[in-house]
This record gives sequence, C-alpha cells and structure tokens, in this order.
Amino acid sequence: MNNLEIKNLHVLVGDKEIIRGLDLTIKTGEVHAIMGPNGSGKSTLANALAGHPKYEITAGKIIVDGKNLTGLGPDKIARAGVFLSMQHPPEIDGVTVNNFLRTASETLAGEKHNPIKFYNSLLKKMVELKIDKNFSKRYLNVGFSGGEKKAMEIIQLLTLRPSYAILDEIDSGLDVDALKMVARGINRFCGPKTAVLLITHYNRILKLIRPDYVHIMKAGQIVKSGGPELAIEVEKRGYK
Amino acid sequence: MFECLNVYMDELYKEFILELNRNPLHKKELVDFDIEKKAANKSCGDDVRVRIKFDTKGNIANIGYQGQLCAISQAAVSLLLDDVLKKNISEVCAYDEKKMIEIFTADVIYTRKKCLLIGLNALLAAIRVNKLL
Repeated sequence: MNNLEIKNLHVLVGDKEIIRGLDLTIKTGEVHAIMGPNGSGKSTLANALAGHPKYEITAGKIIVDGKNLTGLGPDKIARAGVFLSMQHPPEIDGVTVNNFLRTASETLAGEKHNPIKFYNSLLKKMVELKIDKNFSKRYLNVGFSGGEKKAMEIIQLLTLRPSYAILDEIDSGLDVDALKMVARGINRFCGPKTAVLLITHYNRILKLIRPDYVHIMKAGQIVKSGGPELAIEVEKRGYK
Repeated sequence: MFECLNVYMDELYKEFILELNRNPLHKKELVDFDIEKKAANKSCGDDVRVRIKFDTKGNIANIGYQGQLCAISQAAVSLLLDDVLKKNISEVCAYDEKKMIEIFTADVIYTRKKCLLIGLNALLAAIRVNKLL
C-alpha cells in the first residue's frame, strides 16, 4: 500500500475555507501535476499536506503508506516520507547549506553521519547538477537568487530522498538553464519507489518532466483530471 | 583550539571537527570484543581505549572507543574508526601518518600531530601486542 491518499480534505486558513473536499491518490512511481488559477488553493494544499500549523484541517484525512498523518506536525510528516519544496523558502543566517542538510538528514535517519563522507556525497550531487561547490558553505538561502533557492530545494530533495515530494511552483521565476537543472534533479529523483506532486502554472516544465496525471484545481477542489494533454489544453485555452 | 589548526584549513573542516567533538562516531563501550588497547598523550592528558571485535575472516566487525580527548583527537579517532570498520586487519595494519592525514582530510601543525595519531597508535598497538599478524 505505497501511496499518499487525500480523502475529502477540508482546510481552513484563518476563518476561510480554502480546500473544500479534495480527493487525490498518488501511488509511488507516479508523477502528478496540479494546475489551477491563482487562489484556487494549490499552495494551501501543499502546506496542509506538510503539516503547516497555519493551515487547519477541519475534515478529511491524509494517509501515507496506510498511516494516518492527519493533524500531525511537519517533523512527523517528514519522517513518514513526505517532502515539501516551498514556494518561498526562508533564509536562515548563520547555518551553512552543508550543516543544514546534514542535520536534516541525520534527524530523518535517526543516526549521526560521518560529516566528511556526507560532505563528499553532497559535493558529488552538486557536481552532477552543475552547481558551484562553494554553494555548500553559504548560509541557507541568504542572498540566494531565485534560481539558487530552487537549486537548494532540489539538493534537499536528492539528499533527504523522501518517498513523496510535493513541489510547490518549483519552476516559477526560473530562466531556461535553471529550469533544466531543476528538471534534471526531479527526473533523477523519480523512480518506482518515489512519487511527485508538482504544482505549477506552466506547461513548460511538464515538457521536461512528463506527468502521468494532470489535475485542474479550482475553488479548493479538483475539477478535472487527465493526462499530459490536459496541460497543453490549459496552455492554449486557459482555465475557462 | 582553532589557532592550533592548519591555517589553510577550510571553514568546513572546522565545522566537521566541532561536529565530531560534539557527536563523536563509534564512541561506545564495546562489551563483546576480541582485543583492546589504550594509548595516552602524557603531556596533555588525553587518553583513549579502543576495543575491536573481529569476524572469522579477520575483518573488523565492530569497533568502539572510550576516552578523554581534545577536539582534534576526538575527531581523528572518530574518522579513523569509521574508516577501518568492516576492513580487514591486514589492510589496517599498514596505516601510517600519511593515511591518517588522508582520513582526516587535512594536516595539522606539528604540536598537534599527537592528537591526530593517538587513535591510530592505540589501534596499531592493539594489533601488534596481540600478535594478530
């Protein structure tokens, strides 16, 4: 039972209901894309799945590999194998990229790593993604460009190796080269034991990462589901 | 502590040493072991005791250390033990200062050589004293 099930999910932000009865099942080995107009609840869905305290789940369930994660904190959800790449990752001064990644990885693994071996494996990943190795010594997201922040999210994804990756607008604001780097990283992550939920506004990333399913979200619900052709249709005609 | 390190040492390696000092690897009391050996740096008061458990083929199946050590010693012993784990004794007995620098990924100044080598000394002495090779 390797899947992420969202059953009749209702999410409240403040006193406003943003997600209104959403159902979705994502099996490992699959890539799902969610598209939808601004304000349709895509980011709310991503944040609620990751256990953000601001997003209150009022009804429904989130089940990962048969385990009910509804209402748990982000640390427990992360340990269950769910990863969120944030639309706007925070800057943390004084914490190096290397230190942050090692600490996160150790916390998920429940054991200490050899810091030098960890660093070397991190450098290897960065070389593969064609990212400058001095990146690892910089403070987390501090002064990073839009592209660098997204590169950081991809390095996190490949280092922490979750089962389910929720990528919230990882392609927004990227130039062609940065988009290719992000797509390369995501394609590396994809495999029979992993699943991706890609939230995006643009079909261009879906040309590089071929989704198995495309869902259209409107007013807190999935209103239409289909294959990659649905994204092309959206690109041509909009959401009307 | 830092002023004693190689001036060319990377910021990251300082972080590694501090990390390994706070959270050393293989610092545990091995109850089931085949050989043990202590080593000490008398001038600074550091001491270490290494215990090793072998499998039937002479590979290091488990290893652990205890001791009072400075940050560099602690990091060096941690990395050494992590390196030799699962390796064969015949390979490990050839380890020398050059190999230790490679494992530590940096050299240290002369006055801290003893810190770098305390773990290796205990390990090699354990093999020698027990006439394992």
